[in-house]
Amino acid sequence: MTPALASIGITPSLLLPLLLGVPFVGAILVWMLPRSANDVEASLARTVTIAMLAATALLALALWNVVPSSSAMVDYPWIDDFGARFRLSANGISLPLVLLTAVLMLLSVLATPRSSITHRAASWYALILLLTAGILGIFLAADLLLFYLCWELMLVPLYFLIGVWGSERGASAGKTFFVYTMLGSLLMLVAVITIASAAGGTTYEMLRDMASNRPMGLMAQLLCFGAFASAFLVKSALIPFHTWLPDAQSEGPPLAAVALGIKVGTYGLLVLAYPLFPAAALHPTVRLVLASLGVVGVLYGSLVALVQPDFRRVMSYASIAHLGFVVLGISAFTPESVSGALVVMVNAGITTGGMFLLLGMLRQRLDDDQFASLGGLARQMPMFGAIAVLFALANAGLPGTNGFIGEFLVLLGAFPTFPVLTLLATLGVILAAAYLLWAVQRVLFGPTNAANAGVVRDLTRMEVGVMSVFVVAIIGLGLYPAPLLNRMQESVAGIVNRVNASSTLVPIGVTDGGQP
Amino acid sequence: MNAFASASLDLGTLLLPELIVSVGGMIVLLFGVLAPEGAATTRRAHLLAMVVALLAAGAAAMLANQPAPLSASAGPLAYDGFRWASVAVLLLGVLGTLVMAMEYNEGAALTPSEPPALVLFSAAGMLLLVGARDLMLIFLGIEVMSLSIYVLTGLDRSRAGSAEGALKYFLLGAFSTGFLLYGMALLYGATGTTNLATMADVITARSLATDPLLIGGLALLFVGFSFKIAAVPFHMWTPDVYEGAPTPYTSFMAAGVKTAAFAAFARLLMDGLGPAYASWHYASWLLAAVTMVVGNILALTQQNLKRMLAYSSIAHAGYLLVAVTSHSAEGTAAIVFYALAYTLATVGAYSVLCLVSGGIEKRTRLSDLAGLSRTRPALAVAMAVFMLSLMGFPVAGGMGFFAKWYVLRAALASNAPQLKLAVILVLASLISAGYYLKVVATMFMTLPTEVEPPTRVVAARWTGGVVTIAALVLLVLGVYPGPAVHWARTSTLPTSPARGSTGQTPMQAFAPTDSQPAFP
Repeated sequence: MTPALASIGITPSLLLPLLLGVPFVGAILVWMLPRSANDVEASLARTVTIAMLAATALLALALWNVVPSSSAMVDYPWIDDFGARFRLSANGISLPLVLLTAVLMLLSVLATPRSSITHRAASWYALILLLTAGILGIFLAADLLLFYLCWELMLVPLYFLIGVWGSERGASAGKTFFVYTMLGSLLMLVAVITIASAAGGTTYEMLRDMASNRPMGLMAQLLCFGAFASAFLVKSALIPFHTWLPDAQSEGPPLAAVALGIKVGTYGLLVLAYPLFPAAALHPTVRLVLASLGVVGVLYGSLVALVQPDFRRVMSYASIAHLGFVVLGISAFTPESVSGALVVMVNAGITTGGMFLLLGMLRQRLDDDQFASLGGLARQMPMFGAIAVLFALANAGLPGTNGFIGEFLVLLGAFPTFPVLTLLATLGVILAAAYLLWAVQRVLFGPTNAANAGVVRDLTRMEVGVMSVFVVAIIGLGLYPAPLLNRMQESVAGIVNRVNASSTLVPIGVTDGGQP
Repeated sequence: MNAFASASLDLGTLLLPELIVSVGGMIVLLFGVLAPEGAATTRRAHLLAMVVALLAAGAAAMLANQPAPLSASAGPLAYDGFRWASVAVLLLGVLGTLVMAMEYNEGAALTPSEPPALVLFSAAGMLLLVGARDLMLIFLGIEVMSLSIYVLTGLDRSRAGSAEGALKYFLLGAFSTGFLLYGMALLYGATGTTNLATMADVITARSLATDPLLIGGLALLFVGFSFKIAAVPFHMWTPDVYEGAPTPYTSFMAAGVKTAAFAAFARLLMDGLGPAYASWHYASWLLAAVTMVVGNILALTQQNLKRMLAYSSIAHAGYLLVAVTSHSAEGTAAIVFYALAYTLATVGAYSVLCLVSGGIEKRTRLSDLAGLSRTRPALAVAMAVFMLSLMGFPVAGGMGFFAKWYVLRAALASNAPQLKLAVILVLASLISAGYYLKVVATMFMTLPTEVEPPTRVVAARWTGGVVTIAALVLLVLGVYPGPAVHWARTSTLPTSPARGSTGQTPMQAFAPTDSQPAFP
């Protein structure tokens, strides 16, 4: 792959800007496509979008191969007066998420049939590309201002995707999502400007340098950490900031639900909030609060998932429960638990993302997908049934699927630090099996609803093709997770060591920065 | 008044943009009288006025690139980057207004050819105001600016709302002028000078910062200026006047009057009264906080877009007051940058409103935008950009985000960090999402309603051009704001060095010593 890219002039240093640029420029291109007859416009926009996303996915794959274990970087001047630079980097933590994002977005577009986008197709595809650029930017940014731009950029396409192409209640779900996540982001903005002024710039390098060489006082760190955490935890929908997620995921199109399942919030928590405010992040109270919130999230999400009226809401609460594991793993902050948290982030993206797309295919066929009106679909749609069962098992963390390894690592790594909480979180694994298997049973088995008899078709070849990628990933990562774990190992160890080392460097009771 | 005499030689140079605009206004007026009456003349008068505005902008650009004449250092007219930057922003607003008015007036059958001249006269007052470094000139500028605006507000004699707005604006404007004059008189009584530079020296030399006469003058000046910039609780006139005035002139008020009055207010407080910072800091703090919160909350329930934008402009006065409260060079740069972003977004939004309503003032309700994304998609996208820009949202809102960033930065990185005010600012802009998003949702997420077509359809290519240019500039500067930031940073106001203490804010207690932004 790499020699092939090099032969057409794409050097490793070009990969990072291209990853961001291809979807961004693609969005502008697609939006400017001639708006003629709707059918022509739609198929042209779809073709261009798929090509752009496929190119993005290939670039992400190339990046995975190119980047040595540590990191790669590009650096251009941007806003000198603010000390901001256009700086991108990739390392073992962001790489898996970049690849996940690029592939998930491509599969989501492929899984959404052309006929389901009945109006303004060019805008739909342009927004998807813009969304992809935003999410990739979050993972690739190495400058806090750039990160913040991408972080907020992600909101706009999602708002429109949910509001315009969602259900009748999509507009209000979109607005709730927008305003809710903006609240956290704006508080973060105040903290961003505070530390940017203190550090004299916004590149990660400058900020980390400040964190390790002239750290802020504990109180300032706690306030700033709180502001960052509010943005990251609202966006990742941790209890008690989760109320927007189920509405946004079930009222919006499946593609938006998949994008919302990419865990940008916990990525920010791990890569920004922890290294920049180490003393606050490893403060015993903060750790306990975060870990407790995580475990409450696991248990609450699982219990509420038991009583949901449809499968999509079950999956929303399942992802809230997954998030609980991620937060528990990050707050324990051992190399194992952090690796586990990252693996859960990747795997939750795959399994819940796949499930949302699968449920979207079901919704294409049936207007009413409440549990009450479903049943016995396994007989009518055997392929659908088989894949749904596999996704449910992977979500429940069955050994041999990808869901197992991450949760296992989190529990293993967190146990020495939080024994009681970890034991409680283990209950979540059992509850997950309960709500997922019960949901699968109500949809696939039992008596067939007379109204659906003979109406529903099984998955088409295209749909099976898309789903097979998920199936391969689930089983592949479940049986052989070593490539993923090896890739993140060094970066995780680096971040854990650095944060642990600088967490003690707090000038307590000193008003100035305590320069050496 | 020696300063006047010594500066008289250069006065022609110093006042070149103002002279061009005033003389140009008279020429436009004469042209309207001499040329045969009719739509073509009106159009030509507007075009002529645009040429005048461009000439004035050229003169200002020329002056900005020349070193300041010696006599300008203490004279009644400032010769600094802040003035030229404000002039540039104001003339941008004037151009947008003239373009809008040219096509709007045809649609609304407002045929007289005087309005462009009135816009120019008002602009002359604005330019004088932003350059004034003397209480007398500030007063003169405000009056020249306001008188023409009163007339423009009441231009549409077929609507009672227009006359109502003009009357309200005139009465309250006259009332606030009284406060302003009385405040200036007290300041003169306290310091014995009307020149701002001298005033700062006198206050420092005789430690007048807490002099009762000075404080009384300050209080009255705050009241007078609060009327002009529409800060709560002196904002009551704004929605009625904004709704009553013909849309292009509403845009002129929202962008031009606010920018000019703000520039003068900032110069007065930071330059002349800088040494008395401790005395006015709390007043502007409170005014900023109340204005941001109340303006945004009141905007939430508005159904008429012009009223909604009126309340939004009140809230923006609050954001700008945050920059004033920071009392730093960074703060003045933030004002310039913010004024540019705000002018672009405001002129753009009112242009969209002109295009949608087609000159029919009743069609400015929120519901008239329903389904705009289906009927006129490009217009809807542009309006969404303007709304997100006013909301301060990154990338999609373009430059608006960096405007907020700049103001927050000025508030947080100044010598007296305003953490609480910064938090109030972001919470207030969260409230603002409630109504800006409502506009976006109405355009994109509802179906168009059946409306009767406008009686007169006027081709509005020029106004469309304004919309396009404003949206593009906002978007480009939202991704690559470097040049605009640099321009703003070199357009700061020299703030008086002596600063009062403001009481410690939480951030100050533990901020690192190196809290000054590290600029080269």
